[in-house]
Amino acid sequence: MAEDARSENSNSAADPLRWRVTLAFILVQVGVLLSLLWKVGFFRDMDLVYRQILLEDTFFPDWLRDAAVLRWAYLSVVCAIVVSILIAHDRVRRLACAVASTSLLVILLHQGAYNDMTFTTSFWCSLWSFWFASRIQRDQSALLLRKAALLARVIGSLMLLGGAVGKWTAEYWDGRVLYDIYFVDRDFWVFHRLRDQFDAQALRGIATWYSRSVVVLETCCGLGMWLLPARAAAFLGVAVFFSIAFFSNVYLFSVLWCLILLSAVGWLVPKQTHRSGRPEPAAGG
Amino acid sequence: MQRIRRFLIDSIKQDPLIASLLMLVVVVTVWLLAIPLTAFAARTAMRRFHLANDSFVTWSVQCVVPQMYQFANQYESRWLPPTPPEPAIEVFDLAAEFQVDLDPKPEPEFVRGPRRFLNHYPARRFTFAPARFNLFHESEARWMRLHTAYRGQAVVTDYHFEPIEISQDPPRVRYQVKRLSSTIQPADQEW
Repeated sequence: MAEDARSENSNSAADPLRWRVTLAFILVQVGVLLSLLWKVGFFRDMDLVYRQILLEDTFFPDWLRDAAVLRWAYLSVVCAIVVSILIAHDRVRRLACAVASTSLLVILLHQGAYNDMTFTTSFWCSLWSFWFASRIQRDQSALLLRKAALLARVIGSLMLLGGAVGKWTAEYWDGRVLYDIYFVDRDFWVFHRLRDQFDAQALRGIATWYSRSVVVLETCCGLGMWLLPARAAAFLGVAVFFSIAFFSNVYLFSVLWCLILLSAVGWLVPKQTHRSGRPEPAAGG
Repeated sequence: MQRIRRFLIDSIKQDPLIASLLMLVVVVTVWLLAIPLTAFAARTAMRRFHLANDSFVTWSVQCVVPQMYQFANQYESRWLPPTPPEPAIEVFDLAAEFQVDLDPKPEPEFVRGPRRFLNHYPARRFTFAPARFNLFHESEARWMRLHTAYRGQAVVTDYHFEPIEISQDPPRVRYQVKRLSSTIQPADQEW
């Protein structure tokens, strides 16, 4: 431990990019924390329902139907992330990220939470954090930031591709799914304004083009965003993920905060290193 | 592309963890791209949304696959089975013959409004908290039919929920969940 601390101190003193490495880690951890806490009141009510209405479905193992397992897994993730933000020690951060990833995996398999995309995006971001924490003391900052940005945009692309593939079907191309979900009666400012200004027939037409735009945007970004340079991908990722929630559903921020801040890691890649395109030698790699 | 390839190879040699993560991304991407191309992948992915895969293992390995707003998902909850058994005798014909007023036939399809679309996982209409409360707070038996369509084919799954334990202190109701059937049909077929 003392060796780790000495190594960290010497790296901080010698490496002008060290603050960017720390900021990248904190950004993503804050993103995951925001995602998990965005609907914290909802999760509290959810726990109450699961304690009072139990579903004996043998599809799930007993322990993955237990409300207490879900509650403790959720609290473990939140605590682990707070610890990893507050305690800037390499091993503590690695351990905290491992706990967070494992707990999120349990939540993803639990009967009461498997369906919430919040935990899917948080899980992938948590894997990124675990990898990043394991490399902080091993890679030179510039190289680490470039790898971190690459992994971040690959994960962002994957999330968008998942949405795109599921929409490559007639029900989305003609807009009837998103019309029913959003345009008919969704209580959100965008759809209130549209309903105020257009009649039902015009709304149906708008829904078709809205749906097609979503399909095309997700397909293009899902297949191509990871190929962009780090900063361009960061800009695109932040813009796309933010606009998805801002223009459709405020609760979607719980799914997207972590992806928004994960995408922002691309902005921390140093410009010069990126332009030269030459990988720098890894320190002690 | 050449630059990216060289960068990837260098990174993988020095950093096996990032190589593993990138490999996981590749596997998930291949699976996602197989969904529109093969009926098997599409059915497996749609059954995932109904908790109706052959085994929990098949379902759980898909948990890392992003599923935001996938497929055309609908559901319907009912007070009675989706296909009520035929009566042994024609009760209503006899009633007309004997000029007897029967009690009104219960409405077989209690539907909360028309069938609506859901963004993903129609099975959450009974597992997830707000819907679970709506469906079960009266502690009565329920039936539910889930329908997920994608590129011309659909998975239809029927569920039955029976209260098996009700207690007041602490307030609690335990339901038994039975998956009655899960079938494949053309997407445009009535369900």
